[in-house]
Amino acid sequence: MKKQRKPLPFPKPTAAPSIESVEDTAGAARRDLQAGRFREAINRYKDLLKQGDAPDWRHGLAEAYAGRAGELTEKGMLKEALVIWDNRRQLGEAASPSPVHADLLLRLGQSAAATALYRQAQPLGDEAAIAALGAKLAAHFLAGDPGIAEGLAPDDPILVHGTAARAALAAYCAGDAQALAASLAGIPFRSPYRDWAQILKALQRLSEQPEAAKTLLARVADGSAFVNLRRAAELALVPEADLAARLTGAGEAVSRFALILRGWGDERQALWQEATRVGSSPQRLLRLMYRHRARLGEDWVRQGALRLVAGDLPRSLSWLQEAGVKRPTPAETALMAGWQADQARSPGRIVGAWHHYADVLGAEAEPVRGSDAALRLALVQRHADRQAFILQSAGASGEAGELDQVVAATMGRSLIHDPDDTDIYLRLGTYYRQIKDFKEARHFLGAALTRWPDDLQVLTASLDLALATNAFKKATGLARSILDLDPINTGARERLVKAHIAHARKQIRALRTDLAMKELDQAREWGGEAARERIELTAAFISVVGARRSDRGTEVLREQAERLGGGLRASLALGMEAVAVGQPLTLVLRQAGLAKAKHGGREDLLACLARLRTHLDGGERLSRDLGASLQGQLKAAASLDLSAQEAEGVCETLRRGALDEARLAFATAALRRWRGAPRFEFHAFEARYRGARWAKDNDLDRITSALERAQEEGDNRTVHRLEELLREFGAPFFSPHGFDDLDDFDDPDDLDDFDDFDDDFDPIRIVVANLVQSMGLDGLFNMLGLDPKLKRQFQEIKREQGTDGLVDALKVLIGEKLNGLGLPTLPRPPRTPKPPKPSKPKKKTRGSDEDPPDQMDLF
Amino acid sequence: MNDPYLVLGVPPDADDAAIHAAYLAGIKRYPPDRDPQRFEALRTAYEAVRTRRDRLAHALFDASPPTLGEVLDKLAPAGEARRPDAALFAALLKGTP
Repeated sequence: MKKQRKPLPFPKPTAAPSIESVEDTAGAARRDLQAGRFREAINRYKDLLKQGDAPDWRHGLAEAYAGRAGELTEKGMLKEALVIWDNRRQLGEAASPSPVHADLLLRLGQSAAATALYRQAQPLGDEAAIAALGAKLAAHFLAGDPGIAEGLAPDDPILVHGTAARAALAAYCAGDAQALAASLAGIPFRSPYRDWAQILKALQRLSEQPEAAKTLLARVADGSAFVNLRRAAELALVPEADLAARLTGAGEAVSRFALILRGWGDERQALWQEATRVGSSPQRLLRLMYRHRARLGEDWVRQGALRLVAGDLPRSLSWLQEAGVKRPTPAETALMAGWQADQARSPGRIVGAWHHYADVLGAEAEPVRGSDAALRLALVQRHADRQAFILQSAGASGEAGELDQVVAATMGRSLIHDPDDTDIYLRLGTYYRQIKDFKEARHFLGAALTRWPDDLQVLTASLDLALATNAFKKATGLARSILDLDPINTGARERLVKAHIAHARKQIRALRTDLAMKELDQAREWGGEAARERIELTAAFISVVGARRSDRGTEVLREQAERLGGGLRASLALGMEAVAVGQPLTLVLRQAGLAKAKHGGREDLLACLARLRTHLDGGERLSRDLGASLQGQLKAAASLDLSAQEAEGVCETLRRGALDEARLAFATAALRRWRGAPRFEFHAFEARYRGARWAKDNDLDRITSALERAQEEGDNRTVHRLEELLREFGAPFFSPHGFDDLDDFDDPDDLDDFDDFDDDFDPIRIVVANLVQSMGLDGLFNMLGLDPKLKRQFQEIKREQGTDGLVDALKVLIGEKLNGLGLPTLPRPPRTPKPPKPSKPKKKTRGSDEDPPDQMDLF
Repeated sequence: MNDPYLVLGVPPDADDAAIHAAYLAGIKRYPPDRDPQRFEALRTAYEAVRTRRDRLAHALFDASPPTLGEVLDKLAPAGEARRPDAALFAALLKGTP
């Protein structure tokens, strides 16, 4: 029965109307071609060629034919496509032979026609087309197509090099590396088998040199006649994790080739195909596993099934039923709840879930110590802390909470079941030390020390505990043990020296100088030359205290100050020591001759700040009094000639020591030399406004510009810091100095109008007016905790309605707040005659009273 | 599950010595310069099941579900790389995808 022709999806284009010019039709044909409307383009070009002949139209028609043939080939209409190619061929020289045409001919087994096409291309001289056609024929020649040789001249490279190419294939399949190399040597660079040679070389290197294989394969272009082989070889190199996704998009022959290269046997390939056919959702994987449970192992399948359903409970329980798997036991349910809690990352939930699972395990039977069951229970009891770092977090804060106490107690119990995990003793010992439960800390670390007397971690933790409890004798013993095992353990040595010095200072404060001296002797023994200066400084104060502020004490202090250079470094060192041993700072500095000491130049400044940095690195702080005492000396040193790096280092150290006045001086000096340098703009701004809630508009503008410059320079740290500042200070309207008209409020006489309560006395209005006068507008806004939007609105009212309007608007807000506090209503004052206005005092200069005392002019 | 036993090629009841031996053999076969991914997988697997405590912890706390690859590895593990025959070459040379 003759197949009924389907109606065409588009109406057949009719001949161009007579009114359409040739140019219009040619333009439309070009547009159709560009848009991939090949049928329409074919019709238009054919119409044009009926009216005349032009090379462009012939080329256009050839292109449209090729496009249409491609469409038909993609749809599997190969014969129809071939008809179109034949039509194209009729166009003569306008249609050069195409490798795609040859490919189609070869797919249809028409080797003779394909070789004819190749021969037809040769006199035309299109080298690229000839090479592409030649490679197509070469691939088919290699594949054993007998028709290729028949249609070619005996001296054609496809035949001449084909012998070596076939020999190379045979040698590769036989695993004969020597023969393969010899055969490949017979294929020259300019050969239709060039890509073939690259692929065989890559295949040889797949296992041993995968990167080299990849490089070779990358030389084979996407349009190559050998591209399928390249794809298969590449697939063989894909990591295991990506293989499934890549195999899904590959054809069967390519996949099979790749999988053989990867060592996949027939069974594995069949299982793969089975699995991919049904899809790889958890349910389907569960069914596959259960179907093969005898080979996979019952326990493995059970464990895998629990993990497959755990992520989607309780809905996923039905998957178990569908696959024929038994429902989870109570213990398994508790275990799955633990996994879910781990995913949720909530410490409370994690502790609850795993402690519940431990209870379930513990309730089954008392596990025998040393058994898997006992170890399993211990691991579960410890897991919550391992997962959520509960003891570490609580320990770092120094305060015990309910959750960490529960976790610590459970972990402590776990040692009954598994006493061999050093890490648990250390974690518990450290935690209890940090929360200052020294008895418990001693209990766990003592037990650990008994079990592992030579363990450096246990010894170090025990040393820390001994130092924390001022058990210096014990600490000495532990430090000796550590140094016996690890003679270059500087950490242990340094900690011990520091502890002895700290203890000596404590004795000095208690005026027990003999005991302090003993401590320093110990420190000298452990510290050696590196600690000498610190020890001698403390020792000097023993003399000072011993001399009871006599001339001898003054002499000792002056000696020390002189030894330290008599400048900034000396002031800092003696000042810190005075604070540490409880001596009056001002007196000590005066006695040492440092009360009005000047800096000793660049070296003195840098040495002073290095010392301060070391002090801060040790987790200690600079006393407020000492900081205040040093600021003046440091500020005077800001004029010193420093490199940009040194100046930045100085600013950073001063920042850490909260010495902001000095920092501002250094940053300002640096900005004079390195104008607009973002890092110094940051220091200048932050030093000036630390602790403030507003900043001047022009200063905010400066750091906005600095931010842009830092971004351009790629200075990410400064970018981040400046962004933080801008976020903190918000928009310019936060500044009371950003509005010149606010100076009006500086003069109380300007508020005289508010005194006119004869006619409309309003106590809240008076309160508001007084608040505005005394606090300034922004101070009042900040006190009221207004958000930026509301502040903007009040500023607008002020601009539009003047002070009266503003006070009226604020009155409503403040009135509500006052009423909310339940304050009594203000009594109306008696009517009195309005006093005469006093003479107007001179206006205060801007920023005089409202500037905080620590905020100097920045630039 | 990212089954470390499969990665190391040892049974689930393997002891410390067997696991250590399998690890050494694995990294000798797949040194990091030759196959960094395989080397890393071997190292991770070894760390996961090195001791008895590790093995029990892995069984308890590793909640990652099994993959199709793992199921295949257990049922029909991949063997040594092989060479496709001439017929398969011919199919690809003829343009069969």
